Amino acid sequence: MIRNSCVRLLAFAALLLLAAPLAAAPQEQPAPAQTMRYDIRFMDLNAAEVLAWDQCEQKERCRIGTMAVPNDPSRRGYLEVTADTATQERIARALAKQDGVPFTQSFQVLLLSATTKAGNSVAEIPANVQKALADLKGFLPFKSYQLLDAVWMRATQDRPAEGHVAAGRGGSGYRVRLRFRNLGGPQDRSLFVDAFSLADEPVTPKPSAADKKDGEAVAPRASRPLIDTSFNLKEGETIVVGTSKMDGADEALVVLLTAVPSS
Amino acid sequence: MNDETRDERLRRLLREADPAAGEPGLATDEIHAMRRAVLTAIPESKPRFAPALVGAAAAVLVAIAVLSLWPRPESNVAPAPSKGISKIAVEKVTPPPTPGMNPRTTPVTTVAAGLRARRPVRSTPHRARHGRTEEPQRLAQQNETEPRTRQIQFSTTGGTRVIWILTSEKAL
Repeated sequence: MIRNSCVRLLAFAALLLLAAPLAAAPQEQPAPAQTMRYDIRFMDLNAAEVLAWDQCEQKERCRIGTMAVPNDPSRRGYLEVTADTATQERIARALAKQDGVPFTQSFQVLLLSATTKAGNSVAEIPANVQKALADLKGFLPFKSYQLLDAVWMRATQDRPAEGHVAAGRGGSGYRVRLRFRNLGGPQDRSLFVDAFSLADEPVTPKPSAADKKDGEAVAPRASRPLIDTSFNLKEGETIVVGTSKMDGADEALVVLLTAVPSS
Repeated sequence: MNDETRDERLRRLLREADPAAGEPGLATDEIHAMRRAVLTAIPESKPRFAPALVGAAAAVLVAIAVLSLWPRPESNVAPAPSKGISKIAVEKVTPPPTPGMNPRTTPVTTVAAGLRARRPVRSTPHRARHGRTEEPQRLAQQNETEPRTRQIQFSTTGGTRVIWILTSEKAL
């Protein structure tokens, strides 16, 4: 009985002796923090800051600040990061990947004319917008939709992009302009089209023979804005933007705008 | 003679009574911790409406859209949705003189504004009937020169979002 107690006591003492050196071992010193400044060329500053925070494993050991440079066309601002070397490396790699090139997005623009008169709806509507068009047909009272023209626009974030849509009435065309900004992440793109406009571009009439004789120049008709709006758009989504007259119109112009997925 | 004005005296009294005047303020670490907490905070999900309210709202929206926008012989309202409205909003828009790229700042009104949106369209002839003889002419001239625009945003049952712009201009 006494022997068992002694054995237990000795075992406990041995454990204590083993634990003591482990407890006395020097704690692993944290890597020294250093402050670095990164140029942000294309990304939104808040998005860059969040990206940097995502790279910081120990949040309490990181300090991240932003500084906007509004008058510098080559950069949006700076990111100032105080963190250990490993975190700085991760941030640098992430920024090189996300901020290396400007964010671009392709848009498919289809312009259709709609009428309440029965007619042959065109069959060459692309497959990716047929669902949107079917939804529209079940919703609006127009009976036929005619594809006037289609244009593919490649736009860079925060920069206006412009496209010309032909086949307007009397040889005229339409000008499509848009500007967008990415609100989502690299995997989940959510676009905000802060300016989308459609304007007709009338053709300058050719001077008649009488006008040529008189030497009078024919003044070109001014371009007229038809659509001017803004909206959110997810990658791969098709939005319908249309316009018609208030006074019982039987015709309308319909734009099917699709943010084309990158891959 | 006291030269101290009323504002200065009030300012002095407020400063004297400020309980935090002697405190140094937040430390830099605390400021960063607060900023970090704000940046990484996840917004709370908003409470959802009860299904009954959603159904009633959808029915009201359908009624609003059909009654206010379906073309009628004496009406000057444009073609309208016929079914399947899940969301709708109406916005009064004054188009810019040139098609620039300035972002729009006019806020989109809520569903209830769908009824109000028709008032300006119909109010002009109503006022003209009861006004003096000069008033109709002036309003008619104004209508000819100033294009009126209404913007309606809705989504179909299939999920397609539609932005429809009604304009008073002569032709498209």
